[in-house]
Amino acid sequence: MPTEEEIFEALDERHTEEIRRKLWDSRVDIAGLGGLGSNIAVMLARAGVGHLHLVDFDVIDLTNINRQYYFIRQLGMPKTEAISEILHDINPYIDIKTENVKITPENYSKIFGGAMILVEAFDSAANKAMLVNAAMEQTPETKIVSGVGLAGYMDSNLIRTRKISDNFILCGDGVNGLESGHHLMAPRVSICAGHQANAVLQLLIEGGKNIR
Amino acid sequence: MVTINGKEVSGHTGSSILDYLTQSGYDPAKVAVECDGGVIPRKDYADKVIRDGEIIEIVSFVGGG
Repeated sequence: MPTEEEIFEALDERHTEEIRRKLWDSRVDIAGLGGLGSNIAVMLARAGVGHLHLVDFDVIDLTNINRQYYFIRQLGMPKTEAISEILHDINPYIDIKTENVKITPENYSKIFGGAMILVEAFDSAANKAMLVNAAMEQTPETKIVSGVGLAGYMDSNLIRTRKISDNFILCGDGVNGLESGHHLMAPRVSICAGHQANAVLQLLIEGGKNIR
Repeated sequence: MVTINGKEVSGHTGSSILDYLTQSGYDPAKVAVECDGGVIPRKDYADKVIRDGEIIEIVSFVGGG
């Protein structure tokens, strides 16, 4: 097992010491650990984000395996537990806090109060809207990175990142959802997850000044 | 004249956000609405009246994650 110092040296070699320190001191909150959330958590762990707060109430089902970052051996496990296992395999020294709870407008601020960056990674449109509205109304200083429009297997290049307002960044194609009869498949889900994870890095490293 | 999702439109000043959403085919439970850069709380959709010159951004959510 490499020491924490050895992992830091490897990250310094890849990303520079300045960026490694910044990311290691950062906290990111993720709501939902399905196709978007599990992939985003893995990317942020690989990038060296030091503190992750991960929230989901669900357990892993066989129909999740087509796109979510889980394995057959983890079927039936709570997603919070399974993702912690995976993230600790990537970096054993990450500080991971998990909560197995269904998020509502009523418990939102108890769970995410103080969040600097909140990643919206839910599945249903109504839950996405609920979370984004709760965040904007209850913790207006929190920066939200939401994923909308990633279903199907049409043009990858329709998926993009755009700033709606200073604290609200939207990733995805904006239109192709489950409602339009599309199914969720690994590539476009992962592309959108990549956009969201990269927007988080842009926010953490340079305050998001290059997100338009 | 108001700007909604980047387009200048007329004929909506005086309507509530809720009226605009339902007339335009949005599901109010699946959107987030900002006016001049600030969120409009969901409970205010029926009361918030659209005024001349406002810049409104409606984000419509679709499922999948």
